Amino acid sequence: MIVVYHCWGGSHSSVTAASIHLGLLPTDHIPSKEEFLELGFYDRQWNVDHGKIFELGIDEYGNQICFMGREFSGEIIERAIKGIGLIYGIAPQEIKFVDAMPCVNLVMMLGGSVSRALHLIAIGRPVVIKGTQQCYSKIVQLVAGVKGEFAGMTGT
Amino acid sequence: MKIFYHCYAGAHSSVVASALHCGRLPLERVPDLDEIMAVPYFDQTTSALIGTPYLMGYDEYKNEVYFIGMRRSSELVKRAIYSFLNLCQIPQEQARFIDALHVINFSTKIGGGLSRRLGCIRPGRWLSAWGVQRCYPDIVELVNKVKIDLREA
Repeated sequence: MIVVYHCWGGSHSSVTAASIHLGLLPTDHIPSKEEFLELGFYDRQWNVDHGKIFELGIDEYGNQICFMGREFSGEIIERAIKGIGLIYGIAPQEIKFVDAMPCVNLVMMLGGSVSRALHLIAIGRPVVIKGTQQCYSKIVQLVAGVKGEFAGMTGT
Repeated sequence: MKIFYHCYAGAHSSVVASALHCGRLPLERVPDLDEIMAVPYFDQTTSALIGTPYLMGYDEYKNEVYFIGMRRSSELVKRAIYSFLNLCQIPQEQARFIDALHVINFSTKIGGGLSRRLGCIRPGRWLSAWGVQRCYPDIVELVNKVKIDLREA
């Protein structure tokens, strides 16, 4: 299965969720600033990459774990990808879109916009990391829900 | 090869262009209103279906011809589709996207809005079909260009 975590810009909440899913970020404590920055994809994506689906790795169930920035077009992109998948013989059930935006708080939005939209990375990045740390438990819960479905499917 | 004509809602210009491409509408003359309104899916797509590609038919080269609505996010949606194909190791050259939004005129946009957004289907559908008649030569030119490209490819 292909799992696509998505958010507005594909830089923060979706990257964090995909990283938690793959065990690149912890579930037992809130990561430090350095742990976020070590991810490589965190607070990195620019507008020209919005829409692109990036594969981060393969999880323990053999799923391809991806993240994507979809601006305000999440539903249209999901329908398009599932429709195109069907045309090429990939069943819609094999593609799972997970919206990470409900986890996002105002601090993340503010910091993310300053870093990504205004290109003021030095100011925006510490703020967006602070915001991600504040809502980290929500993202962990989101991922736990997704992984719980897979565990249920495989009976593990 | 799979060909995707795309426009705002996947209800008018992409439907007419894909129908023309498949030979469901004439290339040599402007069809009458009833012929346009009889095209499958013309002025039918609802908001909840925008983004889903629909098969209109096959052309003389056995290509599958689809239409799809992408609102004003065609660049974003196409990037998502191409990256998805890449992820699934499907060659990108197998899919060709053609923007049909720019060939549509004001009457069709207003008619489409009346029918699809406001639910005034009869007058909206008539006005959008009337608008298609006015810009029909532009749609024919677009489809002819695509067919020439396909022949040369």
